[in-house]
Amino acid sequence: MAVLNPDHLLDQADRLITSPGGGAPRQADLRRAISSAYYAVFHTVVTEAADILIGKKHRSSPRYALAYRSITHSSLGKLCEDVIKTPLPKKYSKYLIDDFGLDLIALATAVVDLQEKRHLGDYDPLFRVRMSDAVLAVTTGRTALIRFRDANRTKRRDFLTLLVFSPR
Amino acid sequence: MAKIWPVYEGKEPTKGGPWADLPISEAVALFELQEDGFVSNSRTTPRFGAVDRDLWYLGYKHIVVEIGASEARRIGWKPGFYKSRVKPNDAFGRLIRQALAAELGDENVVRVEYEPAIDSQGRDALGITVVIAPGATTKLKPGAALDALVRLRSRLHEMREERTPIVEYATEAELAQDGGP
Repeated sequence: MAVLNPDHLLDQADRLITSPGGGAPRQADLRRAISSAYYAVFHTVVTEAADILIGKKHRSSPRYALAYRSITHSSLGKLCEDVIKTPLPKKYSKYLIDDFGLDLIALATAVVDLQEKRHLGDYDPLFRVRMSDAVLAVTTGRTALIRFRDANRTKRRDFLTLLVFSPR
Repeated sequence: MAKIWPVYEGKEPTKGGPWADLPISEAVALFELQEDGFVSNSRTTPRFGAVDRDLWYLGYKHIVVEIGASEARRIGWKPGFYKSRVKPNDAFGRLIRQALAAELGDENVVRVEYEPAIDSQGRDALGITVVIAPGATTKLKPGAALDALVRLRSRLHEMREERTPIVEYATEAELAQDGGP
């Protein structure tokens, strides 16, 4: 399976917030830009989780697709809300060496923020996206990918494990 | 660092910790402190209003800044508690702005507005509109927008604000276009 390239989603978001005619971009484009920024982050996290669980070399297998599809926006959102809590909920403590670290806290913050914005953009008819907001949402998505890739490998694995297997 | 305390009137002036710890110069400027605002030394808890009554249910009434000995020496003041003329609601907004501006750059943040909101799950949220300078989106340090969100959440946690922030950015021109924040 050729997995979605998250950087292409961010490139798409950049195109959407750049008006070709020089005028203001359309609301539909700004809303899609925010959505693309969120999906870039979502697919990055989900791809890495499925790579770890099933294996990168099995990306074309139904098992890989099954694992990939098992991760929902809701499960990612809930974990990220917990990651940015202080103190971290106790249910995670035995699965972590110490904490998630600053890079994953940054990623989690971006997920929570972009998920909320995507929801508004996709479903709220009264939501009006301003250009500045769309530009900074895309910037936030791009930074989140960098922080995720920079995160300590062990912490990242812990995060992805907890994403797939949510502790009770 | 100076501690920024939101204070009730009555016999129990505080619950929990300070809202923020700020460098002394920033605390003095942000809360418009003056030397004659001195209330008490560090060993004496300042109390206001009817000090024999529980008045916490009326909400915060004052902002008091605690200045330690070394910080006080730095600016030539006495260590202790100083009352700010800034009211708690205004202080709340100033602390939000300060957290955001620390990452976005003071010159890029024109003002910050906040109001109660509801998030997509129907939970109470805090809608925050950051009014930025024209062209600010191209002048921010790399990663500043996300760092600002992280710092804002940390500040809100310190301030015991549990509502999820929903942050939106706009220039004055964009606000004028859609009739307000």
